[in-house]
Amino acid sequence: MSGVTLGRLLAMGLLTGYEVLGGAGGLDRRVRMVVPGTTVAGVEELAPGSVVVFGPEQLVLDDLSADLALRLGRSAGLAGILAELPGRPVPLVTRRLADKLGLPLVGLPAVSAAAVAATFDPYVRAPEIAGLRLLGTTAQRFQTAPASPAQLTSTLSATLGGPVALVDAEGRLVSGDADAHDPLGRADIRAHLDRSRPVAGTFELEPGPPAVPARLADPDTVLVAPVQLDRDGPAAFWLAARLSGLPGALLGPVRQSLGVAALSFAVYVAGHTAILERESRRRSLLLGEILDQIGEAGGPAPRTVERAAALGWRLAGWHTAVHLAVKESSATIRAGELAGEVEDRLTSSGLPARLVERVDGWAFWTTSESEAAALEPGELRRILGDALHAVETDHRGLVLCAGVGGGYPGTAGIARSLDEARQACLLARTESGAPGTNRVEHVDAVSMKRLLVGWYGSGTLRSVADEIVTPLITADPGGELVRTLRLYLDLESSATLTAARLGVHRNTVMQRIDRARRLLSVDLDDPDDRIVVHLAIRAVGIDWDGR
Amino acid sequence: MRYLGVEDIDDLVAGATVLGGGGGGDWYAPRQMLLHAVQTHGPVQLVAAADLAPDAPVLPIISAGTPSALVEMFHGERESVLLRALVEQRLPRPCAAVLPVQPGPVNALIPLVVAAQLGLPCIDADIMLRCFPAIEMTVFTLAGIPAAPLFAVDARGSSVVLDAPDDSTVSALLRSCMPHMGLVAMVSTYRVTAGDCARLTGGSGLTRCMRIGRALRGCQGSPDGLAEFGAVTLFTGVVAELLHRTTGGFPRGVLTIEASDPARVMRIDFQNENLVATEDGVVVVTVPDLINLHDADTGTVLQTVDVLVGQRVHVVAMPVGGSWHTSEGLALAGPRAFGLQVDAVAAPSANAVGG
Amino acid sequence: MSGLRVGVALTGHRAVAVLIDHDDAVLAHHAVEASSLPAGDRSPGRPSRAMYQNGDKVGPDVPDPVHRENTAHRAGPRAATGGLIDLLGRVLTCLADAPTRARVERIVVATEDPVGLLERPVELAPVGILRIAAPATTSVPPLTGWPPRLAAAVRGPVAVVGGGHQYDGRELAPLDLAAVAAFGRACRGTVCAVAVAGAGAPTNPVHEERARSVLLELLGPDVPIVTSHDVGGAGLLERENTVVLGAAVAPAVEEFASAATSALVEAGVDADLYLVTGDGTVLPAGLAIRHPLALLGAPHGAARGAPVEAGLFSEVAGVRTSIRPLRVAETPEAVRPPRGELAAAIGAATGQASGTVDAVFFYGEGGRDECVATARRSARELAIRRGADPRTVRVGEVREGAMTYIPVRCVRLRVTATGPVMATGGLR
Repeated sequence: MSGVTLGRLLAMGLLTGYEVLGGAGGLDRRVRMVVPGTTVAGVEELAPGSVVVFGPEQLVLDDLSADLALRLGRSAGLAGILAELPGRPVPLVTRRLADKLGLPLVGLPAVSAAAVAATFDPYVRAPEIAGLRLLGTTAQRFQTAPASPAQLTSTLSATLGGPVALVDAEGRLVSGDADAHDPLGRADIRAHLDRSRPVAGTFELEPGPPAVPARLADPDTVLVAPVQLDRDGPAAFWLAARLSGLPGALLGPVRQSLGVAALSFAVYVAGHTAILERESRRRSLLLGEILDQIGEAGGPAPRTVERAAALGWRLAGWHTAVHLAVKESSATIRAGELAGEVEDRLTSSGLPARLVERVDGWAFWTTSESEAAALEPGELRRILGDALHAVETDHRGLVLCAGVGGGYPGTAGIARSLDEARQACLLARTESGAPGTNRVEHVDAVSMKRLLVGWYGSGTLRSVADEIVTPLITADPGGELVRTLRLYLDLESSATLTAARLGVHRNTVMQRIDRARRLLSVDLDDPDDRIVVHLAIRAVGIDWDGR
Repeated sequence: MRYLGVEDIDDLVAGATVLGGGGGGDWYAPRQMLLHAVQTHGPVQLVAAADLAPDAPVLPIISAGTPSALVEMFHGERESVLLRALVEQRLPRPCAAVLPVQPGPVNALIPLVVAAQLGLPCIDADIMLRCFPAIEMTVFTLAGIPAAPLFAVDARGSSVVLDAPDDSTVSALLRSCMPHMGLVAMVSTYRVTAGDCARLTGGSGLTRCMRIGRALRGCQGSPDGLAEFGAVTLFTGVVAELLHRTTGGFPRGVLTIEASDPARVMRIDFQNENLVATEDGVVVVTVPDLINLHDADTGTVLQTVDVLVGQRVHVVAMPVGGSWHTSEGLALAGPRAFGLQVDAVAAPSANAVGG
Repeated sequence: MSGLRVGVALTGHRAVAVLIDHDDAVLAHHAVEASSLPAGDRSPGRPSRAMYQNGDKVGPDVPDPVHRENTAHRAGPRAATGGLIDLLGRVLTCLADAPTRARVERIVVATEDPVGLLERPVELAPVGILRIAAPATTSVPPLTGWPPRLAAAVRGPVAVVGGGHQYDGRELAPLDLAAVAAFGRACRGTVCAVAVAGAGAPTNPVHEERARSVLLELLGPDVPIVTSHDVGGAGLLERENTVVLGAAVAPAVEEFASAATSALVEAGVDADLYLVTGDGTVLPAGLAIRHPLALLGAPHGAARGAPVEAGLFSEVAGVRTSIRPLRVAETPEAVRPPRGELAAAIGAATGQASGTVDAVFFYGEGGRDECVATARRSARELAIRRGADPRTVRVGEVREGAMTYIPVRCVRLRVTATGPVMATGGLR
């Protein structure tokens, strides 16, 4: 096998500002020569496997002749057409035709056709030169560690001219292209990744049906390289690249490039892990310090408060704590990674959380301005449940559980809520039953409120509520009367407090209550009637059918 | 003897839109002009050139200019009289009839307006056989008759007489006058007699235009209705992209039309009119034959300026008269005359396709 | 700043209203039905139009002493308006309590009923029609090709006078002020409104503006004057048709806007009143009178929720106008608000203001780029005049059409600016 593909030629970085306008499916064809074009009609005379480069005098890409060149190029078996970008959009129809014919059409910024042909041709005729160039480019691009897994795979993919994937030790795709990830499921490759001493490997895939009919499909080559954090340790990740029509002369350079990239990424991982562990330790120590200082006069020391603020923790406000723990685990996942995954899941559900390591699990808490603004406990439990379930799904044999504390204000509130959360979590750990059921327990679940919820849901109260409240709603569809009456009863019949809450005059409240008294069929001064009205009016607006 | 009355106008408009081939301007103001002229002066007499005295001079009429200027500042009532007087100054005797030049959405109608205003008959013919963008793309040019002298008047009362040794110079002079005439002028060009018309124009151009229009309206704009005129639907799809660019003052562009089978895409290159239809890099039909886009939902024959992305269209090819398919005809009005380096391809015959 | 807004979808028999907050969350909604159709006190005191039936040119100046009082012409429209206003008042009262109503800062109504008059030509009063384009365009008098009943209903004094502008903004002819004044005198006491259309007005509106001043002087502020540069679009005849139809319904639209304003005051709402146009954008009620026909299709436009690319010329009552119909099929799914019958009311309350410029621009010294910049700036200013918040208004893509067949230093540009309506709550 000999010859370089157009995709790899472009990936070498010899040209900047080029644009693959269409026919990307044909970028993996082997190129036999690169020649400057003379006329569109002359395309017919070119040898199969040629890449032809046109100057603006010979071919204008938004002109009809571009379509003709593609069609002639296809019957001549060309490997690609390069021409100057016209500075105007290239018609969709031309791009689609290139796609349909599988013939790459590449637009270039203003350059001389002869110069482009002269630049590319040596690499086509002597692939080993291309190999050296490839290795040089890789070394240069990975001289400094990548900033993220995504940057690793995209840079490496652009360098090698084919799909690249980064997978974790268990073979899951972390970043990159599924095309490079898919073949890793094949038994022999899978076995290679599971070896106790990880080494690089090269595999040939069975040729699939050709993408473009009447073309010989070259077998794809899959190369894998381990990312090791220490020389004799296990593979923390694997890098995989899938390349088609790889000439033998390039195999070595590609394998070495993969190794260079893996090494560079290992540097990133080591640095990143160290940062994460340091932060986690800092958080854990600081929380301990805060909890220790609660009992002291004046609360936590100013320096402690300052450090908490630097972490984004608010000590004032209304706190609701959550405690998480591992219930069962047969997975080998490390604690630090597990916390990170839970954080990611929670963040993507709209609940950004930083887990703090505790003796028997992790904790975090949410803070709001007031009780009213706090996340509704049911919603919190749902988000937690979903997040834990998602993490469990990723790790066979892992069962997680969590407890949610009540909401309390101030620094002391953090401690109290954390305590309750831990107790609730203990409750959740002791729960038996199918995995995944009751994985989140709330401290209130057994409290007085459960009685109320049952009461609100009862058919008797619902019919009574309807009967009692209907006249109020009929008289005032805007709902002002109902709101006022409810607040009035909640605030132990204080017209002054009610007026303050509603932002209206006290007399307005009195007028409304008088009006409500007249509309109601019951007597508000009778304690029994009053309780029923209070419950009924609190039940208004609860979405019974949504339960 | 045949007259064109109010009831014929909408057929004429519909037919002229087809012969416009995607260009030729908006018919609305000319249609209202013709309506008013016929309501005021009565139906226009249509005559065959052969029925007139062979040496009688005729008055060829075309409204020249830019469609977007015409819709703002269309002709008044004085231009036809002025123009006739200007032309007849150079003639031995008065014109016997008006001769339409371009059978497009504007210019199939304007000569009839002039005929009504002047009380002259209108010859049932035209000299382009479809809409073309230059006044020298006519059967007269093919017969070696020069466009000069060319007479032009505008609504404000300006007039010019252009003499030049060749047609391209006449065209260039006219283009340089137009900005000073508000981009709208009523023009008479080619000094010809009724005998020349009888010899060179074939027959019944306006009547045929009305027949095309009637057939089209009879089937709510479906291209099937035009089968008797050789029309063939080449392609049906949705306009996926519309690229415009201006080259040398001419609006050119490329349409991409996608069929429901995503593998099929058609390209239309246009310059005012639709010039070339291409599928998969294979040219399917070119000028001088007609390429039209029919809105598949409303039946409207679309002008290139009105096409919108997302519109579902039929691409319809229709042959035009034989004299354009000679080598001289193709040199004057084939794709290369519009700067497109492909050979002319004639519209497929309806019979051959229909089996 | 309360940010409370109310959107109302209003027809002769039903009003649906929503109250939304600054986050576009729906706080309340309510619908009311008309108890019975308003009794039609149809058009007493309508001026005789026979006198002007054949008046293609300026008619004789014959004021009708009985009908000098212009408001008398509007008895028909007012009867229809009464029902709408009653519904509007009721739906507002039921939507929210008085303190909440007092905090509403904008009311946007989607209704096309005042324009629906066009379907009943017999109720229309005559319109004065002034075209500024002679000596060009005289081959087609105004109203040519109109449905005869409609033409007869709206035909007041008609004049085609010298003036107008060419493609590059130069004068086509000097404005014939004497002829404009003669036309104005013929209109006195005989028309419900005046339509003015000048050649080249989108490129240069000077002659239309001067004619408007002359007519305003002669006719006073009670006769609406609709000018074609306000309705915009290419094509003198199309714009002329649009302003004639617009003038015919202008009294009804004005009547509706002022009655609606009173109804708001009565309901204790101190808010800006906006009306929805057929493309789903909104206009301050005070500006709707400049382009009454824009209300056509308002409920539909509001329900669709966002302006989209418009198609070719559309016909209204059998007449080609410069209004561009919307291609509903192209509306992206994402912009369509949900909630069925509430859609129009929500769409109204959340509707954006827009300004479109569609005109031929002549390359000055700055060349094409300066033309594009001017077009973008004009569209932006127009959108802001119509209520868009200057901080958030966005200027869309500039569509360019060359002047076909003849190469000249001109370009036709079409561009739309759109943006959320500016909140005024901070001023209260």
